[in-house]
Amino acid sequence: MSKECDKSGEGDGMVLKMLTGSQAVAWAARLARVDYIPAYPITPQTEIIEILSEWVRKGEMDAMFVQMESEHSLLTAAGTAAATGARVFTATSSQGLLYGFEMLYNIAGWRAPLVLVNVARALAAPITLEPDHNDVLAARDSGFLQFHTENVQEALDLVLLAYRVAEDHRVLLPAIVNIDGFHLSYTRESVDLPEQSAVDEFLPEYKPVNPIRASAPVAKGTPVLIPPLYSFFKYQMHMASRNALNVFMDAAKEFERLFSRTYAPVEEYMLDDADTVIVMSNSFTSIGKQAVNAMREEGHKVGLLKIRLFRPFPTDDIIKSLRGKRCVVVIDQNISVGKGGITCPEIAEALYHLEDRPKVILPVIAGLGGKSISLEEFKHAVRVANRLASLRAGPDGPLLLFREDEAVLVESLLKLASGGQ
Amino acid sequence: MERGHIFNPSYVLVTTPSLLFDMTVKPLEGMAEDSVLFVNSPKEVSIEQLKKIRVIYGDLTGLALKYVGKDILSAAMGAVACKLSGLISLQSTLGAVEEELAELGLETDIIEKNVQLAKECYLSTESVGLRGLNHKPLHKVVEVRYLGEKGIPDLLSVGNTALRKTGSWRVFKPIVDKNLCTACSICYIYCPEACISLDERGYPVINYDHCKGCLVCTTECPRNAIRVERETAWS
Repeated sequence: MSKECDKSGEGDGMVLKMLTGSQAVAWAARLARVDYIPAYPITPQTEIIEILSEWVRKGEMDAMFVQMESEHSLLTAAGTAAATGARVFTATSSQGLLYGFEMLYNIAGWRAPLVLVNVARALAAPITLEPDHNDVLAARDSGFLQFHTENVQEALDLVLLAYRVAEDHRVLLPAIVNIDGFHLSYTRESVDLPEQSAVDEFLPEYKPVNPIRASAPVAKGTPVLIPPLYSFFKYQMHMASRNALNVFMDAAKEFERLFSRTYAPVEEYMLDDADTVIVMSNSFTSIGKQAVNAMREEGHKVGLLKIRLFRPFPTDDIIKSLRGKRCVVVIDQNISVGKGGITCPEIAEALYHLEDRPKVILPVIAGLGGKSISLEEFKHAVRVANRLASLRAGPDGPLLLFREDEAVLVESLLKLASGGQ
Repeated sequence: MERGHIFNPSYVLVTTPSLLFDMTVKPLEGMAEDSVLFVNSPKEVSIEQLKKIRVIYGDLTGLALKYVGKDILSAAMGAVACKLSGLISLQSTLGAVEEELAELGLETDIIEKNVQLAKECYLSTESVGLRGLNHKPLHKVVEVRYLGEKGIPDLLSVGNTALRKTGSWRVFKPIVDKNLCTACSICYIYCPEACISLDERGYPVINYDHCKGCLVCTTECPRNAIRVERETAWS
């Protein structure tokens, strides 16, 4: 459904196409004129590298495409290529990300900027192909910047923004852009495909710092057996990551000027007069917004805050959006087993010292392994939070959302698996 | 807008009637009286739940066989969905079929056959327009109980694959002609699903509950004793 059409009155060259999330991020890599793509297949990521390999084969993209033998090699190749000054794109998912895990910390430590698209898929065991965010959030502490996307347009745009922020000399850190498997990777949506000339203006050539050259060797990632030296370099990474907040804001302004789309570290939805705010990220946010609409129709003052930039953590934006609200319902589509959601404690910490902090911050787990979240589940979470606020009480633990129809299905499958015992 | 799981569909399109009865797929779930079900079937299907909703039938498999020569339904189903919605023009639909199949690297004549297939499907389907549906509060939130050792994902029942009636996937049905069959057992050896057993005289017996209709048996039979019929038994 990708008939090209000019939007009248919005300048020339604006091209609307129906693209899958996989196609959109492949287009972003192409428009960013990446030099090098190390690749390894894994469902639901493979479509991205299939598209890129086809473009490289046909000569439509001037890049080197290499099929590696594992994700560990893939990430090693990606990081080392970025250290030579190449603009690098790669993509993986779930088990693949974890298989290459130690290299994430190394690449970040080399201060080698590149963009990795993670196509979210829940982690084994038990094994599944459906999405949640335990894979991408496992990389939370690695030093990679993290951008989380709700729709296909955002997936394309944030890859471009990620290059701009990662390569900025105030930052120099690699970036992960997360797109949810199936819900974005294989779903076609209308996408405004940017003009190459505009992308060239937005993303000038990558200027590496101390690139590795055969003629001028540089040692990167050298051992530092003196403890304060290790601490010093880690603090440098942290400060570089914090710089990325302002760099992102500047880049987003430039992006808006060139492409007429606005991106901030967080996105507010019906927040102005809201007393209860649902906090979410990634593609299921669209369902959350629908739930907000439905609850608004019933007269409840509910809003939603979407977290788009997860690392660096946009503390100030979160404070600005959530201070003075009665209840905050944090829906984590991930679980830190034995604790609860991964983002909820971060939200709570951001708000703790405020006098006008919310009465209740309710941790909620939903959507694990792609489990759907129905309107009733959103309503239930909002009700629980407001009841706690009225009782001036706090939650006992995370609310684990589940439905009766699902319980019935699970019961029948457990019976089948146990041989009827 | 609903994303991912659609709880209250305006339309449901089902590629084969056997899926209507599948307990894990449950395509009729969330359908209300003003929603529309399209079933790819040469004849009407009678089940109780279908009485409340509007059902449209079309023999897309027949059309796919006619135009493309294979039971490949994506262009046909897409065209029907576009027409049902009343939102997407014939031109856009055919343009999409052409472009998306070209993305897959298909040859021009195959793409053209699919375009013709999509065109006939589009033109022969009635547009019913997009309906707004009120959300039905079907779901009750429950607490998950801790089940101890029963909550460990171990599979204890062996041989449970047989419970899945994969015969419902079949589009073509292999039928052994006992007059031509010499009981050579080649089909028995080649069947990748172990769906063919031998009777006491050594003649093959096909288990249609699990035969997926891959037709390896038909291809391998040295006497051409296994004929093929299109499956239409689902009703």
